[in-house]
Amino acid sequence: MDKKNEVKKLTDKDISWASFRWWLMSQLTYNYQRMQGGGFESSIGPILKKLYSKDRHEEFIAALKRHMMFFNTEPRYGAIIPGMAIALEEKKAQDPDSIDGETIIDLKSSLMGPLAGIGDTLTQALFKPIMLSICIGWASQGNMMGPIVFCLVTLAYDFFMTRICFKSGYKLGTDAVEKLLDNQFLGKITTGLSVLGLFVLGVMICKFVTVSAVLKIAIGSAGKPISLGSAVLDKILPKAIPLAITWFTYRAMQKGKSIVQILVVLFILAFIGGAIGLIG
Amino acid sequence: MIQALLVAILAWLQQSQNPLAFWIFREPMMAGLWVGLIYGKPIQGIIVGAAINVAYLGWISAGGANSTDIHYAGLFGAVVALQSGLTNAQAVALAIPIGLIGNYIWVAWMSINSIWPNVQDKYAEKGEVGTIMRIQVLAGQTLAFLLRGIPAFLVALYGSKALQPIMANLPKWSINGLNTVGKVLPALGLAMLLKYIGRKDLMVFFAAGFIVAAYTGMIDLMFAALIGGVIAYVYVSLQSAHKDSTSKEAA
Repeated sequence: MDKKNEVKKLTDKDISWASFRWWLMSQLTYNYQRMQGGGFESSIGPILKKLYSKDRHEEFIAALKRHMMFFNTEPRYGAIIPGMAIALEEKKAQDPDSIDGETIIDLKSSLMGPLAGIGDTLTQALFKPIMLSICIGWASQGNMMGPIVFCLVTLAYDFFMTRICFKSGYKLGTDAVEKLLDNQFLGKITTGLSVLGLFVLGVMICKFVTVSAVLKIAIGSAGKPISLGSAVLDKILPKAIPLAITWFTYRAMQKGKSIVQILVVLFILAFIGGAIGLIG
Repeated sequence: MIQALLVAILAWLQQSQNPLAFWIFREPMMAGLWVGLIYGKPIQGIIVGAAINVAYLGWISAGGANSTDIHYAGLFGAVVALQSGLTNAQAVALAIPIGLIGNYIWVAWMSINSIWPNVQDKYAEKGEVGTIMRIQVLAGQTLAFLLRGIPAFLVALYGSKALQPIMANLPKWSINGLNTVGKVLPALGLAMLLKYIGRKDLMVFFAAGFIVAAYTGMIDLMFAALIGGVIAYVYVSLQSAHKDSTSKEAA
């Protein structure tokens, strides 16, 4: 018996729309129970409907249930996964024995973690802060370029990165995704962006942490008060106080102190320091 | 009244959890722009938004968990600052504690939304894809509008009226204290970022950036990014050249 089924061909347009649905809908009802589960279903659901004809209702329902499961990844680079899942589902619809439903679920859940790690690093830890630091620089001087450039560049990045990843997930299939995960090129990009990010970060401490020593003390026989900040500290290491505060905060985070704890400590120390005229 | 309503809509858009929200409404600088437009002071809006945004430079949402709330910090900071004419430092000092409270709204949203997958399951049994998608859009968005919009509406309407007499009667020393807090807290955002990208072998570039800026006073960030890009390029290419030569020697 020939098990091959006649299945409607998925067009490039179908994939583009599925990608668009993923882009827009993946987190619209984000929740602790399934995270992006409903978003995944919303992206792939109409595809499944097209793949399974009316007389294969049970297989269609089984496929729908597969993609209502818990799912969570980074929406841009992780878009490789729904793209890949569509390719797998297409294969399964053509030949139900070619791939197991469980295998599709396993592949999804084994890839979502690593891709989230890559995606969060590239997008949230590198790309966004670099864009923000440049645009905040403009905005803080009242320059409209700041918000305008920021939202245009980031939106374009988000849209095209999602689409590229989604479509390559569909085209390349599982092997290619695994290859991508240990790609040297990715390592180079991450290192390069980290170097750039760290350099800018060093500059930003001087620009944005504007606190300095304002205490004036009387020194010498004349008893003329001199400013501790501008006359002493700045001569040795300018911006030493902003650096010290940032470093202290960074170390506290590394030691696993929560943001709330650190915030409370910073708030209290800065308030007291400002109130008694030590720093300001 | 209309302004407060617009602020409420803005509050919803900020947490509507899609790319448009992430990049057009969520960051405090962008919130500052929209609040500024609502109150007719767009330039002041982006200036105060940018000041608050620095404290959130290292803000990352990973795995559905947020360390603090970026949404309300920018929105309320800008609303109150524009309504009652706070300094940037004061707005920052005010906005960040608000961010702590706002995070409960995020947790509530994520928790209440957890009932919807079970409803979507039922429609999956029936094969009704369209209904699943409608739930995906409407359920989360309605809830986001209620949870985010109502408090924002009230703050925009009454917030600065309540705040103004307090700010007006603050003694000098406590205003100094608040201003200092505002100047210190951006360090929080920078430290967060440092934690994420601060690889041990690359920390020397952080030092380089700081030293250059501290001694020369060169703090133009576009300039810094360009220089940083050049350094990054040189470092990465030297590193891979080095790897190639060592692997050749080994062979």
